[in-house]
Amino acid sequence: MPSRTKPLLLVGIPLLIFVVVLIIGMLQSDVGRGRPGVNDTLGEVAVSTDRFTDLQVTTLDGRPLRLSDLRGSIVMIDFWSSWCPPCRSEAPILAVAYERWSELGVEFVGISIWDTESDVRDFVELHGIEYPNAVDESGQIAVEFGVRGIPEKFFVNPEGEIVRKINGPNTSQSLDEVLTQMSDTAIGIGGN
Amino acid sequence: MSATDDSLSMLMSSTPRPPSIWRTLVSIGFVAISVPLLWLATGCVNEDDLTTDQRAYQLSQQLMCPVCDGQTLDQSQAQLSLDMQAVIERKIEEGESNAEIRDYFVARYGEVVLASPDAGGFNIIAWVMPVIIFVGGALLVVNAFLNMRRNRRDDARGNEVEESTDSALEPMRPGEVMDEYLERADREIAAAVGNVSPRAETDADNGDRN
Repeated sequence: MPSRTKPLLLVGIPLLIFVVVLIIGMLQSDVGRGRPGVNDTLGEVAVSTDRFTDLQVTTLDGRPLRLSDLRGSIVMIDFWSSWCPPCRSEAPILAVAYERWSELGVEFVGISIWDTESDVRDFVELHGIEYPNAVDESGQIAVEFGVRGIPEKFFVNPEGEIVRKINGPNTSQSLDEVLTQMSDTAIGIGGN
Repeated sequence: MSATDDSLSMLMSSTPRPPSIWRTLVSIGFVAISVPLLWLATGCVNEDDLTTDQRAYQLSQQLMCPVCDGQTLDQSQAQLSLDMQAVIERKIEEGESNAEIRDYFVARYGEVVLASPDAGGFNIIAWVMPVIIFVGGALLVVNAFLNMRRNRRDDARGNEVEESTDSALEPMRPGEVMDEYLERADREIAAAVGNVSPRAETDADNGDRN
């Protein structure tokens, strides 16, 4: 091999590999996607927290609430905000769903993030929401659950394990579907 | 010693020497040692030596805002970034290490939350390639430099040889050239015609006339 070709290959081949990897990385990069408060991936996603993360809040009516106290029930935790349009459109659906599912022992918990308490109270009253809600003023709970945007829902089985996570607003049908599957699993009818 | 021998010995002495292997090895060694030292010098600050604010700032530079366009936490003003920075400060105060805090965020937001990839698995390419390219480039520069030096030395020696060879061949005077030519012509004619040299005959004729 000519003496000048060897060093060129020595540098050229790694450089070529580097450029190829760089191009692949740029094509697959998440850079450019996502805006504050907006989920860019809708539907069911991987659970983004420890599966047995506990939740401890004070609800709007001043009562302390711990997720671990709800063990034995299926729990749906909803992260939302009063200024978020999908949350507004979803609120009546959740209010009606809670009336139906609470009779079957399913609990709903709302955690409002990036919001003010007065706006949250107005929102809850406006939509006739009966299930407990709390304001995450410091945003610590949202980070603990790996929340990126709103609305995001976490589904907890009766053993206290967070088993599913859904980004974006739900329809009445999709919410019923998830809760039915979880109930079936809980009573040993279907797998989850 | 004749002029030819002088030229030959000069040519032999000007044969290019192979580049010093030691010099090349020293260059490679210098690069191989200085790069990791530089790396260590910039990265060996113990996290225990830093204040909470300094560590929080350092970590916020190492973590990406999950909902922004290519911004680290310290660059972003998104509410989620501010919340994450508050979590970082709380965890530092609780005594968690930088690695534990990074792992906490990776578990929640995935590896994309790291501003620089973890040095393991496929990601190792991102760390190794720049070093390979840097070392390769340094070798290329060293090689080019050695070649330039060798070529310049060869050219200089070549010029010296040309000069000495030229000086060894003393120029002949025009009359001597003509005499040599005529003698050679005589020899060839004599060989072709016989032993009588036409020139000798001419000289004899001239002598008779005189």
